[in-house]
Amino acid sequence: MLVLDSVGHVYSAGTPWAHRALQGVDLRLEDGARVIVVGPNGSGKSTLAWILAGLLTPSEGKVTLDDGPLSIEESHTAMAFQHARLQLLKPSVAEDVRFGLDIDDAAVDSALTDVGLDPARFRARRIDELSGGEQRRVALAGVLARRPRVLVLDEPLAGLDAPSREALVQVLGRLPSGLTTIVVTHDTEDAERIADRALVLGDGHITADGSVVDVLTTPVAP
Amino acid sequence: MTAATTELHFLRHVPGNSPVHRMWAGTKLLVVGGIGIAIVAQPSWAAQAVAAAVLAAGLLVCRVPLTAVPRPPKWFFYAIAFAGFLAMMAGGKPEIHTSGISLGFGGLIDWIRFTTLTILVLGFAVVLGWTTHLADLGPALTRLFAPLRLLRFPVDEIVAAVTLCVRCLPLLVDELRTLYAVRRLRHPEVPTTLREEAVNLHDLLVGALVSALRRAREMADAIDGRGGVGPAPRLPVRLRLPDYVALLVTVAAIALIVVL
Repeated sequence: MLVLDSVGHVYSAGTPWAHRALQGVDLRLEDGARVIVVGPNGSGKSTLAWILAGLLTPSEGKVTLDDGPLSIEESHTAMAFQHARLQLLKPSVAEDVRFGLDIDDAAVDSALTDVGLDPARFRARRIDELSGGEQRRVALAGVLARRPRVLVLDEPLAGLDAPSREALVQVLGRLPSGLTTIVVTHDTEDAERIADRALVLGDGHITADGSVVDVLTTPVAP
Repeated sequence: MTAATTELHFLRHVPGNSPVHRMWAGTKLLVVGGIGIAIVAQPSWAAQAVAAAVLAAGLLVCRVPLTAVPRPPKWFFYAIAFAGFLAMMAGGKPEIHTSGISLGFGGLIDWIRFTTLTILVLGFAVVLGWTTHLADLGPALTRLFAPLRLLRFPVDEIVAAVTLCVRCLPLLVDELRTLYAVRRLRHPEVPTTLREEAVNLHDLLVGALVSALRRAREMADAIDGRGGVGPAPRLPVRLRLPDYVALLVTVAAIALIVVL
């Protein structure tokens, strides 16, 4: 279980630019939980995403996975960023999926299949020949190939055309069952297909937490 | 959980209402440019003392809290110290002879002088960044470069390039932060050999280059879509007492640097 206990974060603490991004966030996510995090700009979504991915140590509270520290080094966590091109560090698809891992061709093909890309067509393709949607799926294949326990996705559907979006939603809908998935987004159109639980962040606090249907259909008080 | 990412604040505006904040951005550019060129042209200790006095006065008047001072990472200081060590090993006069050993301090003294010079120039840039909105730099540069139009210099294009570069700095920082995070997430093992370090650096640099080129192309498309760069805005300049005082102090400081 992934647990956030009274987590808060202040950027640039002790400087004239100090600003609080999160405050008093308590969260318990069972293994395999599929959560969507929504909220307006500046509500703390990205900060929460970076903390859940183990990239940022919160200035207050603690984060644990099964009572132990959350660790990038032990491949507990992975994160897919909005700008896929930044995540693709090698020139070809197969090289990129294999990057940082000791895996064979079969494992690369399996990761590509998991994200709905035909290995025979894509394995040898150059990264810069791919469309935006394909780049995003290759980036996701590289992330999934690490077999993380916690996967954070930052705006995975932003800027995609309808076919690319549908393809990616299908991929997100069939991610491994034990993988805890947190999707940070403004886009709630397909929320029910990619998550069971929804969190709403506002001004650094969790303002709503419940099922996707309950939370995202509840009118927000003015 | 891993360590927090380092936040380096450089050229970031600190809100305030000090006389330095209220100065025209062009005045501050003239001060920084004038004194910067003067001490680089004549980096003597006396010249640096004059520049340091002007910088100290600026720091006192701008009333920015000390907590705004950039805190570089430790490796930066190690690198500086290593450079000092290399300079000391280079020798040079004055030399000290003791117990059969001869130590030349010329290199070390030169290193100290150029290090303090760098700190001074960066100090002026930091005060400019603390007290000036980035958006004010473009109109100020347009005014300052106006005489170059007589020589048929492409002033509007130069100003557009400078302001775009300055405005893109936060974007660049953000993308480098993401790139570094991606690298950590996908290859968390710390490089242990020089070859691994080189490969690591290569991956990051290629990623940064590709990203910068993509951003540049998108920005060029956006500028084209809006009908090109166009002439830079020529906002009216209202010099106040702090501007006149700063310009007088600058002229006096440059004169002292030249004389000393």
